[in-house]
Amino acid sequence: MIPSTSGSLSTGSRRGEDAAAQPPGWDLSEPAWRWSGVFLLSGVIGVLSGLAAVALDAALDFGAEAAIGRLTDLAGAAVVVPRWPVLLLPAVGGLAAGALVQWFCGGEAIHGTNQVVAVFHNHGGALPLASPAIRALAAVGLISCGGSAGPEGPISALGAGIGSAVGGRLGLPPRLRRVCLIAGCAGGVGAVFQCPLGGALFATGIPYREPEFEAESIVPAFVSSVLSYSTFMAFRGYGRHLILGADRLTFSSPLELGPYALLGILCGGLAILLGACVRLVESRSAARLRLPRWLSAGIGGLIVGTIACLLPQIMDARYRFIQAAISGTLFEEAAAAGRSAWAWAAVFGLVAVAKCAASALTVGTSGAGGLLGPSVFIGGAAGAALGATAEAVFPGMLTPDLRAALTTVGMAGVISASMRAPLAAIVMVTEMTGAYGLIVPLMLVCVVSYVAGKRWGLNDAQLGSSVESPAHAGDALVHALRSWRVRDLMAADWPHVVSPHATLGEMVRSMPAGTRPLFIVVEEGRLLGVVSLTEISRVISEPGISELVIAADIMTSRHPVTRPNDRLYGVLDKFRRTNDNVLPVLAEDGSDRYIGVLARQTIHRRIREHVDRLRTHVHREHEGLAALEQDDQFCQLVLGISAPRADVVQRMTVPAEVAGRSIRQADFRRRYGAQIIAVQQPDGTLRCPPDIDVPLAGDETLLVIRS
Amino acid sequence: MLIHKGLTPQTILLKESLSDVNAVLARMAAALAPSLGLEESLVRNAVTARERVRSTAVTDGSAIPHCRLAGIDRFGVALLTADPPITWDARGHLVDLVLMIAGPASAVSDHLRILANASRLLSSPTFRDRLRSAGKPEQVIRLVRVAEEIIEQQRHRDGMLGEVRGATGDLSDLEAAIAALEWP
Repeated sequence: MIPSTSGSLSTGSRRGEDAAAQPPGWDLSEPAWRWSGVFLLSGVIGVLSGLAAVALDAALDFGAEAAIGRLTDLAGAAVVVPRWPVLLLPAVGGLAAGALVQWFCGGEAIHGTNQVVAVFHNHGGALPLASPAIRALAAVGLISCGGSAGPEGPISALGAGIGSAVGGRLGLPPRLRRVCLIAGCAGGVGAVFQCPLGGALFATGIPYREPEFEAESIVPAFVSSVLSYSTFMAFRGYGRHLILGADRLTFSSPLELGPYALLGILCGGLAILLGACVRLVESRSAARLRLPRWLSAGIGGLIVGTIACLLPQIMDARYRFIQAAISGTLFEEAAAAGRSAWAWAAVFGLVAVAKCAASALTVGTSGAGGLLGPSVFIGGAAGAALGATAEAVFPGMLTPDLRAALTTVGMAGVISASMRAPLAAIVMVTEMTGAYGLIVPLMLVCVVSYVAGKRWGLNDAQLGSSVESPAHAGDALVHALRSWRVRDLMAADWPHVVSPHATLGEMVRSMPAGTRPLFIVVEEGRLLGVVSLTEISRVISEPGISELVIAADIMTSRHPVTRPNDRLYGVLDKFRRTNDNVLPVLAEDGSDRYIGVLARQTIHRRIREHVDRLRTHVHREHEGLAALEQDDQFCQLVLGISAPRADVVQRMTVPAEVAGRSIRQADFRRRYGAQIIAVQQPDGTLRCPPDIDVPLAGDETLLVIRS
Repeated sequence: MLIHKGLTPQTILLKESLSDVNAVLARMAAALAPSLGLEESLVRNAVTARERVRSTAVTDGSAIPHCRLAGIDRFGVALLTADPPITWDARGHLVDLVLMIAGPASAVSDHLRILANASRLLSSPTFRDRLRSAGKPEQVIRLVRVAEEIIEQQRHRDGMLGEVRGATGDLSDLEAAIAALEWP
């Protein structure tokens, strides 16, 4: 911005103002000083996400101990322990959580990560904070009452909501607000799973079904996740992993690959089962029963309570059962009771399958709680089941450490498929457990599971890749705009440069007919302001005024300016804020020295040239596309604009009720939500721009922009 | 923004006898500044500086000194009739009707519109005559309001056509209405 003055004439450094007006592009080619803002913003989001995770985790600890933890041992080996409180408590939790979701969130059944993905793609990263916050509270109550759901998904969605709210408060455009959303999500996952790297990879990869990452969000996600993790651990205590005892486990023989491959297939199958159960509950049962959310959640809770009377382990949301399996205490306890390996295999297998059904019933009916944690649990139980089965079939073949390793690795297997995030799953489980010696089996299991089960993943809002996402519509063009600098397109010879003493009459007389150029007011080489006659065109030709008014009287100093090294992508945002077709360009040294202008027309021409070049390349690479040459959509294809949109500019006949009336009389824009940009006569000639006081004829055609 | 909405009885100075243009600007700034909540010197310096750049004397004994000021959010208008007329600028313009306008720095469009109205009003011989004969501030406010409403109606009627063909400066409606106006 040119510094604001009284129409006369002060100067000052503008670099700081320019930087504030033009958000950084957040790509790695930006200069280092631009990144300070990104780090600060991501750090704030990370700290807030970490604090939210601390609060919810503490509430869950308290709630679980005070409610379901008093009634049954979730980490124990006992099965079939029917008790009335265990049967009924999940129903109570379901009723309360369902009511909260119904009354405060509109009743939509969408689990945490899927909500984040949907908002990322379809809502410009705008996630109202109230929705994930209410759902997270509901999840705490639900899990405390024994509901089979995880807090991780809601916490990740809450982090994303915090990021989105921060971005919204700062007025960031959708592209950057999405980055804030992802950064917040990374913070939530990184904190609650105690996996900063895994959280960042998870959040940047979760929007897509294929292994692809949001490149623009990686650095903010890393920063947020680091700060969130650090905040979380400062409250919860450093120096220990989420799952203990797995850091001693290693991969020690190629023969182990066989069981791990089997585990990958098993995890893929369970991911499919979990997905099928969730869809069955969400889309069929709930829809057919037509019950209010609170009632369906209560019924779902009752069924979960019934299952829990048989297998109380399914209510464990804190991985105590899995922890006991890895550390071996489970087997020692049961060995005294004489339980066989077959019995263990049955228990683990049933727990894994029952957890799929219970989680679907809990999350699918209540709309609260997440499926990220249950995925970890189910995978762990599957690994334990496989180990126990092997022990039953071939006693002594698998060492206790290998069985513990199968449980550990299994934790990643189901996430890999159900969340369609194999790389994130590997890193997350490695960080959660400290099992860096199991990287190789983790890779194998996650890849096998991903390939086997990804088609039935849990996040329906995921898209195949960034090419399909509205968030990346026009990426090819955006990339080009980011690579172009103002200096490449600016013109030094703008003819409408005037002194502050130039009269209005002199300016008007210098205008080519039918144009309204922006006058640049310069004195001794310094930019003082601009005069835009577009806004004041009604009075500029009035008698007497032309010699009364000089440029200094009507210039504005609050007009965007640019500098030679600015990137075109950021500069477009300045054009968006002004009606004028040119921006003054000032010297790169931060002074007010005027050196030229950047014109919209030049940018349009450059874009056309770029598209033509791309078109040539596309034809060279893909000859078949020549068949589309005549189609209007070809340019969109070339630009990578995948999301189809209706044309904004449309033709319409003159509506009967306004025929004979002028555009002004008809109040056309308000009445039809459209602005007339030209009127086509019956003989084909265009009146552009239209005279708003000339009556419209019934046989004319209007070219309008729908707003 | 319209002229008559910025005028108050306190900013209308009739039949003032002053020595030169600086005295006129100082007198009007002193009357105008309180209505804008500003120091008199701030207004006086701004209009004086503008006057030095280019004279605002327009036609047949009138001048429209004006400025845009930071820190205000409304327009202020002062009107002075000088008796005897004073020499306004180096070109020897004799001025006895002065309309001073001070507006917000950000209100470019309104500033130009109010200047256009002022120019159009003062180009009317009948308007100038009635102004010179006014004895009370209330008469001036009414005169300006009636005349300005006619100008606005004419501008609205002409619409974009006025711009395309250039305003004609047709003052017949204005002249007739002002001539018919009776003083309260």
